[in-house]
Amino acid sequence: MFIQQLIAGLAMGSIYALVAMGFTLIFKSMKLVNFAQGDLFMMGAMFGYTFYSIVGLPLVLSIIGGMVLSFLLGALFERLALNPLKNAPEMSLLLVTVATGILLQNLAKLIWGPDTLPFDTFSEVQTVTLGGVSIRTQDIVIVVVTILAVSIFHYFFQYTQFGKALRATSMDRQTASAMGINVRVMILLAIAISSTFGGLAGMLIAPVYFVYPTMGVMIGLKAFIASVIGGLNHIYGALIGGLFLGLMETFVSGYISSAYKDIVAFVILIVVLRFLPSGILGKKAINKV
Amino acid sequence: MKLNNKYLMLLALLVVLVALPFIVTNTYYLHLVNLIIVYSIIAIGLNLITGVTGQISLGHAAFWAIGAYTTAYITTTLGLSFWISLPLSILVAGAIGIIVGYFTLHLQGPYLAMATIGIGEITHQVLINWTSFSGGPSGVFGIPTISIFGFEINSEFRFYFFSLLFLVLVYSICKAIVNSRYGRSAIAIRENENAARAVGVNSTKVKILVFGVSTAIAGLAGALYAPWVNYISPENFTFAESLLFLTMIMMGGMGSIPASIVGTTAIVAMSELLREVEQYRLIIYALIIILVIVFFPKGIIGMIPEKFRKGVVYPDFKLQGLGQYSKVIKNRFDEKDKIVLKAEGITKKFGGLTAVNQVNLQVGVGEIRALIGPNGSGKSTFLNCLAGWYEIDGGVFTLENNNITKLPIYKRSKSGIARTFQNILLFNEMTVLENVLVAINEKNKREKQLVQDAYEILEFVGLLDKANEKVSNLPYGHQRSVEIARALALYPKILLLDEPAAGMNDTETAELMDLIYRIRDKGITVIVVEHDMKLVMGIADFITVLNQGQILAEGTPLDISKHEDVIKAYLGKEAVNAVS
Repeated sequence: MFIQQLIAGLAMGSIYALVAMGFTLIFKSMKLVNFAQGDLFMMGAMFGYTFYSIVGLPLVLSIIGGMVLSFLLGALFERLALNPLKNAPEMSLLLVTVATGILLQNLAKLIWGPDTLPFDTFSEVQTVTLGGVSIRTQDIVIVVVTILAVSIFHYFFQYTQFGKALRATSMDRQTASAMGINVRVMILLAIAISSTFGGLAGMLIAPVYFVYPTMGVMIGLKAFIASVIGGLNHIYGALIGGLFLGLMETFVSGYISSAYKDIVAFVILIVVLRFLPSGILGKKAINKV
Repeated sequence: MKLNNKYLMLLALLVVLVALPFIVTNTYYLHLVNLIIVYSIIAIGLNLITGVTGQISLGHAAFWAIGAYTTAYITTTLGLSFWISLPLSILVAGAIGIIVGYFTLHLQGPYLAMATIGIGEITHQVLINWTSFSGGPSGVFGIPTISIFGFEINSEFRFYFFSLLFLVLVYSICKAIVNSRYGRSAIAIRENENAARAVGVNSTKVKILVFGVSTAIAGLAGALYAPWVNYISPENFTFAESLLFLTMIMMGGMGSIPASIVGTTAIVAMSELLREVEQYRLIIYALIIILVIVFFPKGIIGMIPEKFRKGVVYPDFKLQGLGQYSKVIKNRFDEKDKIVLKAEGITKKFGGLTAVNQVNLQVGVGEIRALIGPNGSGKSTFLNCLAGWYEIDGGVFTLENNNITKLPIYKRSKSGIARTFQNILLFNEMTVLENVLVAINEKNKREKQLVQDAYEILEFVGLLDKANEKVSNLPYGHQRSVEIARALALYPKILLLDEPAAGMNDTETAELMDLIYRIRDKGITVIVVEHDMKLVMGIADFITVLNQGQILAEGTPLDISKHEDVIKAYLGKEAVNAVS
């Protein structure tokens, strides 16, 4: 029972972590809370569904295709909605992300219909039994793919020229710009990458929860809480926050009551904001004047 | 005549409002009008916290729900009167708002937005699961209509007049709040929270209180809503509704109370028109929001040219009494030998770097003290420690026998330490006069007197003719003066100037030096961090040289200009020539 919960929690946490990393990446590079993140996640799942179940492409190709489309969607979002507002107040940007979320949800409803669409599991074997414990194969797939994706991102972020420029931009836009980095391109890239992460997470969770236009709403909110728990100023804080949240939720619904599963995240959020506002990884912020 | 015009307008408005339900006889349309009234109440409250104070709430539907369910429970389950449930709805929603504010509003940034999403979701879940209170997912049926001594508010027509009264009430209260000194503090927080704290505004408290008022108003709207529609369920109060309210004030115009009603009307009308194309409705709706934000960031009200929109009108300046900043603490020049500030063993570390190391300093009444040193020597850091921006790792600050080491920024400002900033921090959307008024906020004085005091300060720094200009329209030099005027409005014992001459030409620097002398002549101690050696050597009574976080030398300008270590570490030959 415990092991099962643990694996399920890690899987859910991985999903939160992927979406949350996108959040943090955008927050760090442009101090923006992107409320469309959950809907970018949903769009990824829709793209994957289209390639896999409608077009009939092989699984791996479908996922890659879904990621490419998510990347392009993120870039489009930046060009059309965020870039024109580069000098606008924070609140305008925030509301634009909210409106973009509504737009994506309803576009999805129009294109794919309002109903829940089934997404086949990646493997024909539904569960595997290890030492007497049966575990959902999709959970294992989720955890493994997440580790893979985060590792690739880590390599890119730490060691490539692009990654370094992206990091510099997320630390200090002005200085980065003075060093000859094209900051707007970096922000475009940050948003496109976040969208890709979201899309990947959407496709990973699709076989478990299926695909529907509002599937991103709750995940988006929770991923965002995961970012805060981990520390919005630390890119890997999202990872820790996501896993923590996934585990907490699974254990609460497993051992206490599933009725209050969705409340857990929000209670943690409010407590963290009061007592640990910079999150688990964050240092105490200095108010620079 | 102007006054008459105003009353004429009000009368016309009254006639229109009274005539409206007689003209709109279609029940459905009247229902929409009533919906606009209820939504407007919420939108006005939301505008108070989001538009005026600059703190985004994404959970106002929750407070609306709390009001509605409180009334539903009391009038339906308990069978008590609406007149008992109304105050309780307001109270409960307001109290929960204050608790949420307490948990989040000590932070600067989008944290209220995050927490309120949380509250929205928690409320929704509790309403679904707490069946004995809320009736669970199916909601509460048969909520009795409101009765006033037996007169039932049981038609759209009657509810129109009933709810309109509350709208007028809420409108008037919020308008009064915005125009009061509390409103000014709130706007100052929106414009620049750091600067607001520096001039003595307890920003956390103001934000929490405004949020409490805002959520109480949403609670009121809920109390009106439940008996009107007779049936409520958790699905009436979701995240989507919270967003709806936000788009209403965005559409109308952030920060303007009347705009809240305009925006609400526009959004309700738009949703109604789009009902014809139901499946595209939300898509078009979202696109319109994006277009409005991109092309009309100030909303519908913002499309009206500025000259037709007037802000608060303040009385004119009347010179009275001594003028010339007469209310400054009495001339303390006879106490010149007294120590006003003592800093002992001040230490500040950033990670492994000790930016300020065991600094001891004593400054006298009416002294001009300069802090100089190479970049990174810890001057500005020391200033920020003294003003309360950095928590220090060791040491004690004493201001005239009072230990101020642990005081928060706003209390330090009030206790007598005023400051300006290296990068000018002003309340950009406010006028020069209003910038000063934010700082001059003395509890037991009447508004009229405060305005006159503010004028005197402006006269003192030479900005009287600019009193009603928006500060963002002023040239750089004047903006610096506004900052000094605002600091003087605290009637400080010590004025901290952080690189006041940066970016100034020679004439401006000379004017600044003159102003500093006149401030000193009022008995105010001036501590100035500056790189302009001509200014420093010219005005300072005493100079403290910092190097690598420690005091390298102290003395009169003449002593310092001859000090070998100082010349080596910082000054070079040029400055020495400036003195001799």
